[in-house]
Amino acid sequence: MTKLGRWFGANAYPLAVSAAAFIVASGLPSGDSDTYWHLATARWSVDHGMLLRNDVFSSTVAGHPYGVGEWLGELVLYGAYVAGGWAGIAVLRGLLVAIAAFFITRIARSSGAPWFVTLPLVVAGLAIASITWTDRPQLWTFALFPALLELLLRVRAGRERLLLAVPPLFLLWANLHGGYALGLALVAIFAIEAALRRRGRLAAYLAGALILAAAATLIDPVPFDVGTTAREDAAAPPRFITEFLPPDVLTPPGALFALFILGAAAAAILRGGNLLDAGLLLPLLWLGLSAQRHMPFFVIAATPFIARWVADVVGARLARWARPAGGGPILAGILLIAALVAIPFAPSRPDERAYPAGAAAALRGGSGVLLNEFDWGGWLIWNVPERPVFVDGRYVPYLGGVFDDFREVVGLRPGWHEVLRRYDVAEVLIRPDRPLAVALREDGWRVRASSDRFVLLARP
Amino acid sequence: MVPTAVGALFGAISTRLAVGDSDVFWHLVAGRATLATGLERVDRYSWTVQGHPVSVDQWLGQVLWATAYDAGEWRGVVALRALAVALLVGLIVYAALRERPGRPLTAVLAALPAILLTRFIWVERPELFGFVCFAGFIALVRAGRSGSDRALYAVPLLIAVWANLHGSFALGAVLALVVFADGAQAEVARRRVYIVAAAGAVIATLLTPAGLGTWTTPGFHLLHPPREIQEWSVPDVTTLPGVIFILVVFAVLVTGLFATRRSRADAVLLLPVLAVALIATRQLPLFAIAAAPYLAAHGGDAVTALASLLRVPLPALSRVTRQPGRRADAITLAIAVVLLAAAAAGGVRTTDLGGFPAASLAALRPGPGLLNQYDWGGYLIWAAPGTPVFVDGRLTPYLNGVLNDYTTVLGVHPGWRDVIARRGIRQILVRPNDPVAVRARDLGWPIRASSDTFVLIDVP
Repeated sequence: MTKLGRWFGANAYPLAVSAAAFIVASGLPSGDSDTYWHLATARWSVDHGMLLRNDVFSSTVAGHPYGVGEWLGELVLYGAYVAGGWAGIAVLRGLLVAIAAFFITRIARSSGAPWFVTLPLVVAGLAIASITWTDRPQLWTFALFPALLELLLRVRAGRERLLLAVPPLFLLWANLHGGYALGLALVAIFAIEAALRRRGRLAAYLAGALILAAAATLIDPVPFDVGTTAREDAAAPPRFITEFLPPDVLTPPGALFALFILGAAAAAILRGGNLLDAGLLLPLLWLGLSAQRHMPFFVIAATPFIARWVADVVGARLARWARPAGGGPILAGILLIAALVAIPFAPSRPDERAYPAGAAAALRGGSGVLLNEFDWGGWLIWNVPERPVFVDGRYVPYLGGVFDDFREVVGLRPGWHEVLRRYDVAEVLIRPDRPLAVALREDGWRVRASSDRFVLLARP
Repeated sequence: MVPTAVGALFGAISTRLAVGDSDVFWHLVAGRATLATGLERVDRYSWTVQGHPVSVDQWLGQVLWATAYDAGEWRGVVALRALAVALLVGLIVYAALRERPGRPLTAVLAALPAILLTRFIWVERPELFGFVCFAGFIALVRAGRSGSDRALYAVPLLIAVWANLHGSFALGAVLALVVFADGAQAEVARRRVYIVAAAGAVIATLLTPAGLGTWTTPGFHLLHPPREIQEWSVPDVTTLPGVIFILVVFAVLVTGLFATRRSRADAVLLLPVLAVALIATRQLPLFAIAAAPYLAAHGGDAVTALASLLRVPLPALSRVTRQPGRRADAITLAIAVVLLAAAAAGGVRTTDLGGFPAASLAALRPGPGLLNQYDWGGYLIWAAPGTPVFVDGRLTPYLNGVLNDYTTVLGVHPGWRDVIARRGIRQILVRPNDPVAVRARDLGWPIRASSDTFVLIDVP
């Protein structure tokens, strides 16, 4: 058997899960509002042969500097779009989710638990993570985090040479997405654990890798920009954005997440653990509870921990199922072929049901400052570039003045008239149930377009 | 001795806190009405659901608060609150100390996070009695699992009282069933005791004026928490209560990971409470209360194991070998009573009305037609009995459409004027920055009274 064949046989289970994840993830249409402004940013950079460092999309912060730390992630996303349109983006998403699924499965398998224990955990973990399967650079962090964790687990088990891959990984990651800060923390946790357990050589190697990795992250157009934003996101999550809200355990993903918390607590109380378990579970649990977009990281780390306990409980009773019947490689092969077959069927159009697509023509025919819903800013930047936005999902440039003004005016708070005057707002594109929409209609603003989802109002 | 002293200390501290929870007022009114004319099974305080059935699941708690008020006005309320806080804290410490009788410092340290977290529910509402019952329940159940049949038989008695004090009894009843089922499975010799106690616990929940209806309110609130009310919001680990809660979770996880003794009974008791705590902010203290005895029992063991793993020498801690006699207990109790009485006598004597529209009362028109801020409903029931409210903190009676109408008008959502006309709203008492207040000023509606806190508007 060739080396590749042996590798395929040994990884049939992770490959099968990975292929299945690809089929599911690449079959979903794009729909996230931020995808659009990431694409627009990359398009601008390609068209002008330089990175976009100042805002050109809004009327409110035009010319202000804004982060370019995710430039590579945006360029890859745009490259996928240029190569295959929206289907190309769906395929890229499928690939990144597949990479994540592959390594999550390998991490779960490293617990030594049988497949019938690890598979439900992996599937549940992927289901929780599916809320973050959006077409944005952050998907790279979802793929690279489990890859790094699996690598570090293998390093800890004796494969120290794998640490050579860490600095290049961070060079890439730091230019793809700000989540690399989480990766650095992960390496630090392993280094501290090795030092506390007096595994001197391993601790020194890990510390060295950490220093080199941190240095690699500085090879970035704005070395501290993305890491700083990521740290602020974690320390003071912007709660007005849904994905930054704390997880609600009465929603399906929140309930699954709660099951992982309860599973980890049960495993700790009933089985115990080690220093590394504590080092991984505690900070990642805090992170997961701080904002729902961070839930998957705890789930990934908790999966092998819970799997070991479940295997202890049910393993002896179901031992005969512990080994696959030999059909694993065949199943993996079938699923991989199915994944290839699925590529042409990737959705070629985004799901725009959440956006005011029906207002596009009227918007193009209008003029003046447009005040728009926050969630629609990205869509407008891409689809109606001739109308600069008031706010959009980049949110950081708007914090403070513009965003406070936006909330004041759409919430019909005292001073809303003054905000409209100060920005010289000529048109308003918001949801019809907003108090501002009701008040402007009563005040005689003209309805230029409307539906159940949006209303475009023009100053009389 | 230690639980009494610590309880009295925190009870005394609680007398320094202002009285001013928005719900205290309607509880007092309901309690006084019950004392005067018997249970109130239909609403008499609103004009929107007058005559509709209302819950009587907290009647005993309301009667206790009303009795305290009638005995000493607000000073009586403060005294009862201090007594309840002292009982709550004392029971938390008692349950922890019972696990480590020779280590009072360990017990107090284990109980401290729970004590701090309960600070957020030191309110003048039946809810506080619910927490006292829960702390007592934990102490009884742990004693029962340790071999005390009397403690197990006392659980149904506790639940019978609890079910008449506050809706949180449902958690106790469900927990009792889970824990007793586990006990019956684990301890065959005591199976009959567990079965009798479980049956008693179920029957006890029905010994209320509402009978089976007792279960409707807690069940509804648990699965459909009114998230717009702050205490029912999703737990947030970036807030102070959330930080204390996550520290307790960390302590439990670390204790579980490193403790050398393990018991399924701990997991059976802790995990359901953790699940409930994750649902809403107001339930966070429950987990800390349940965790205190576990941390007292195993925390020291875990610290020792961890220190040994890290090869860190620990200082030898002295153990209290001589238990205080009954004389010392009696002296401590006497001092505690004196301390509480003195603190209550010197504590706050009035309510903090800073957040309520006290200055609007003279301008309120009597009779139906007022739309009031939700948070002020209870206060108006108490302070302006001639003007029935639109909504108030009782919440449940208003879920049949009244709350939607309230939200529509308050937020100036589409149809807000229709609601005003349909309901016959004649005056509006809201905060100055509420959208309806802003809009009413825009429209030139007459302002009958206003301050930084409120604005009272006549509907033309």
